Amino acid sequence: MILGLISKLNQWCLNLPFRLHWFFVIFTAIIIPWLTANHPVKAQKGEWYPFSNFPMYSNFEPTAYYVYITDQEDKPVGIAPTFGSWPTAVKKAYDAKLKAHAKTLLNKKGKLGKPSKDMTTEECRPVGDAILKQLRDASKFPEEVKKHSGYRLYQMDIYLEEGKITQKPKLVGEV
Amino acid sequence: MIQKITRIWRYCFAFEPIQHAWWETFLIRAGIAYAVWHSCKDPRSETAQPVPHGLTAWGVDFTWLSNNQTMTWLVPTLAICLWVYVLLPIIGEALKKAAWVIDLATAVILLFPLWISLGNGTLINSQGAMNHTTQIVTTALLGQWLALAWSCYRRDPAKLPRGYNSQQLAADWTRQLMMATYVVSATTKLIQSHGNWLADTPYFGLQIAKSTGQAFYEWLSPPDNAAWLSQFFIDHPHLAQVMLGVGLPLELFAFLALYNRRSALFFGITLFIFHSTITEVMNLNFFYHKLLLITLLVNPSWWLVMAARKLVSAK
Repeated sequence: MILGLISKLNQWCLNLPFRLHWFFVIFTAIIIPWLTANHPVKAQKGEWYPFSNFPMYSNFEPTAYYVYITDQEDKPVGIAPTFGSWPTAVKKAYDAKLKAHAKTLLNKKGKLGKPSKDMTTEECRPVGDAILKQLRDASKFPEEVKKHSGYRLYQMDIYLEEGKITQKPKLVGEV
Repeated sequence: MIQKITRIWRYCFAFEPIQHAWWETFLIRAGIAYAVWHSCKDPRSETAQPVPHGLTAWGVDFTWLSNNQTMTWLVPTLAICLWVYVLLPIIGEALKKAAWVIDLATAVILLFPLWISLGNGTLINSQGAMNHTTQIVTTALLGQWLALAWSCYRRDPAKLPRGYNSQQLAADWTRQLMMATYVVSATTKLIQSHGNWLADTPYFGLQIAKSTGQAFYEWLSPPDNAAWLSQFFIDHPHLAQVMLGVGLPLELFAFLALYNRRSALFFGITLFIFHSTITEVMNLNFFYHKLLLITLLVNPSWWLVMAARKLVSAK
């Protein structure tokens, strides 16, 4: 009976149209995540360009945030013309480092691995400083970077307060 | 009733391999070549690989793609390769017996754009953040290259599946890979949200607020997305569920687009609308997705030619 089932399954697979399509679905959804499971950066798990199992907006949470950069006088600075990057990339890089750093902090139970959402502004600072430094040093437009004496990185927290979307900035980095 | 539904289902999703005419495959190659050119013609702004990803994790260095001097020879070479890739197979279509030689030449030439496209995407993703803008372009190129390589290996066009020639096979495999990206995205979406995806969609409003802020701080210019929708989704959660809920089955069943020209047209148009809606709401571009959906799935030239032929024959 089992052999019969296997034979039927084999026949079904042979008759399956678009076998390449299904191979790539399995390859991208199962094999790539398995091969990249040990990557130290969480965001890189399941990713091996151009293969990606990334589900855009898979998990809508009741909080969100983005980051922006200002000069020393808190005047906003365009991320694209100054650093040759864009806010989503800066946020993703910051978020990845933040989560990695959170793993080294103690949580409420006194064990390693604090949720990144519970990190205080001071705990975020080393990560924010490092991201700003990386942006400043690797900028494609060093002349633009030199126009300001220093930079600040802000994390803009977005959450609901009495049913209204509320935004609150916090300083997380300075160079 | 059931018979009627079955008949409609069969009409919509009957398996009819798409046998493209030579000018259709020419337009498909032109669309893919334009996407590659558009995504690779400028030097990258990333000058380092701080968080190695993909091939860079294996020690491959792609930072030369940010070198202006390298671009002086790279850009013209890329242009030549893409022109040859678009035009050379037209000769192959005319040749019957030695067509595999043209396929071989095209496959070899295509290696260069494929490497550049792969390098660009890998370099962008080696900055510590993931970016999926050009993923579809490299995937499409990979589909084209795999089909040409397979055609060379088989040599005899009669040995290719479903009576395809090499270019028809390339279009079919490219579509298969493209649709796989949608199916995988939907599957992971369901798994990672533990099936709660639809229940949490009202919080999408927060994501819109986030995208609006991000769009502003990129160039310090006011974004032109529908920012008002952010609070609207919070105030009307059921409407948010309906509007966003449509996207999931569209991605999950994207493989149905592969069955025939009609289903390809349907999924091409609906996915195009899906991406355009996200562009409007979230300020995310999806230029390459839209371009390749039009080129490979909607394929307007074929429908226009068919309509014109019908009009002429009716007269």
